Amino acid sequence: MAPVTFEPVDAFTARHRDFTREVDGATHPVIQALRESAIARVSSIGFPTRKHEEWRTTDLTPVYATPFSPAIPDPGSAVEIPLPAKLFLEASSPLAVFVDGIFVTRLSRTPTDGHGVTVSALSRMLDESGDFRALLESYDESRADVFAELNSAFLVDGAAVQVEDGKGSDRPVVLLHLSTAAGGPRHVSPRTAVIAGRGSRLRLVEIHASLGDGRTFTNARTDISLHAESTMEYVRVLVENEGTIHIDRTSVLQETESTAATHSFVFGGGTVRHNLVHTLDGEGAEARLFGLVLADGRRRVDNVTRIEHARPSTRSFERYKGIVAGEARHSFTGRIVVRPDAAKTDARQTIANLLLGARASAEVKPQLEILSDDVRCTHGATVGRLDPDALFYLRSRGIDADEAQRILTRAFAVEMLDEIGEEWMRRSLDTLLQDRLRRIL
Amino acid sequence: MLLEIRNLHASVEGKPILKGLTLSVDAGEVHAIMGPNGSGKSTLANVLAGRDHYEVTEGEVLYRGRNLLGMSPEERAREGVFLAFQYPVEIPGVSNAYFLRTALNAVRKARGLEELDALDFLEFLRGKIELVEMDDSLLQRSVNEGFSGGEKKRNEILQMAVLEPTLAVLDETDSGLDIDALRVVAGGVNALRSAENAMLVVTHYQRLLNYIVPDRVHVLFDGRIIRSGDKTLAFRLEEEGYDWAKSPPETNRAVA
Ligand SMILES: Nc1ncnc2c1ncn2[C@@H]1O[C@H](COP(=O)(O)OP(=O)(O)O)[C@@H](O)[C@H]1O
Ligand SMILES: [Mg+2]
Repeated sequence: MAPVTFEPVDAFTARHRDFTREVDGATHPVIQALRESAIARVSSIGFPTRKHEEWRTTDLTPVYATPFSPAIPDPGSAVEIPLPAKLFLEASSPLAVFVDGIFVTRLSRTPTDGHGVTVSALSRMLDESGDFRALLESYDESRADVFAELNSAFLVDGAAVQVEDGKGSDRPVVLLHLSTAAGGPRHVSPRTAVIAGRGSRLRLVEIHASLGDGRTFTNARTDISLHAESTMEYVRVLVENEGTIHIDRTSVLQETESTAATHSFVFGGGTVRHNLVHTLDGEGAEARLFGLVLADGRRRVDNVTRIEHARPSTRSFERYKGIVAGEARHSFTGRIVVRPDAAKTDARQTIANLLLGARASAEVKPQLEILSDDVRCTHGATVGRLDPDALFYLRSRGIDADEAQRILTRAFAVEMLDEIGEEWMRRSLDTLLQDRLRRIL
Repeated sequence: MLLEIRNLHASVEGKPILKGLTLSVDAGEVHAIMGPNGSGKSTLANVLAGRDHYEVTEGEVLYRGRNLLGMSPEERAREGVFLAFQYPVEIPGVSNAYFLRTALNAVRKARGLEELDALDFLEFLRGKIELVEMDDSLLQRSVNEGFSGGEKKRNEILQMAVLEPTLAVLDETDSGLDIDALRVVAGGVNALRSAENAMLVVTHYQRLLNYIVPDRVHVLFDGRIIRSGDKTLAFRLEEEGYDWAKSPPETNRAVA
């Protein structure tokens, strides 16, 4: 890797100064204060290079070398929802649209539907609930992540979702994050905070899409707090343009007997790094993590997951799949930590990659850190290519070679769609998947 | 002539398997090909279907007067060539119904017919399913995945019934079938028989030929057809074994 010829901390600090001057008047005081403390933390943590083991697989050079200027959100901007994102807009689901981090009322439908689910701008929720402020400001020095802090440092506003104790709905809440990606390289900082009350139910979808073809640095962050006995199904879909560098962090904090299923679909972006952390911080909590990557061309996708079993009798099940074509690369790093007092932990991880080109590559790195006895922890990884016998079988029935490849590739992926509870979500994802496959194969 | 195979030589991984095979099949005919294990029956079937693993080193195959070997597997299928596989492949994640409809529509499109939507297709499929006495639930399952041996073979015949080929090659479709399944397979084949179509039935056993009465029987041995005759040749083979067939035909002409 070429040496970084300038200091990213200085560059981001300078941009931060100009940015805050521009947006201070229009931001919530809590967010304003957060921006200041966060930029100080960014400076003290510093930015990683490939020499940092944890970041070895991600090429951050374009983040440092491109003069990304922070997008100044314009709540009145006229935008039209781009095609791939439209697939996920089901008329009966609550929808909140954010353009460059700002809530756009005109494009959103956020009914108060009696199910105890509130969807709004983060700034509004900060006035109504102290819990959101605490979630926003929470910081664990031992887990310092410079890009998570960078998100706070450039935060203007974000999305808030709250479910009251014992309430909830099976109808998904859709959060659509659009970056304008116009007028030069842009830096955007989408932020979402979710609090699901005790015994509540939530289905949540977050979509990240681009409005233009321009280069974007999307530095997203989502913090989810699940109280005892709550249930959440969370679907994350990335369909940004190829000029996008997407670095994001999703943290799910789970209390006693809560269950969470997270589904990550990476169909877009040029360079993507998705950090996903589940902390099982209550007895009997369960996490299921699913991921599907579709990468072609020269795209790079890194999935970095961390599951922390902090309490006894917690369970995790993790399954990721990658479809890698062209010269693309998918790296998966999955850390499972079992804390000393997390007896009777059950953790399983299986990763499968399908390579569609001679120069496509995949890397899987399981990291097990087991500090307790009496645990069950398994992992496995496979990498393969399309079965030539199956390809011939399909072709011998009149199906052309490209379509036969698409059919078998979809067959490889379909398991990840089947895991999703909501029918229209499955269909939308399938449509998107097949559309992408037609471009690749 | 519907199919003309002339002096066909084919190798697998450099090893010669077919060594000068000549065979002609006319429309309206059913030909049986019998021969011991390893004689090249499946190689012939796969070469006709276009499997690239098999290399044709000499000879030619004309199908309706056209060079069959120059066509891709999918072109052959669209032109009406069908192979019922000896070992049908399992395809997890692809539903049988979707597979059948995609195949039918690919073939219909090539033949200038309108594609069928899911509903029209189900309607079309109903009669075919009855023909092969297949359990409806197998349509929603993944192609051949977890199917019993008999179910896989029925599924091959179902595909044949759906695609309505002009030349069907059945590679030991009868092997391992109980008498019920055998009857069903034969029923499917006989339903397709017409003056325009032809079939090449590869089998180990004379038994199948009680149900599918062939016009001609050929004995394949070490990559060549060493003997041809009418249906009585099959009975004779069953009684006398392949060693008999290997001996010079002149001495046997009286009994054949
Ligand atoms: N895929 C293959 N790879 C290597 N050898 C093969 C392959 N298929 C067939 N053969 C060889 O070719 C010969 C003929 O096989 P095959 O055509 O399957 O015979 P049959 O169907 O008459 O039993 C055998 O010696 C077999 O071992
Ligand atoms: Mg065979």
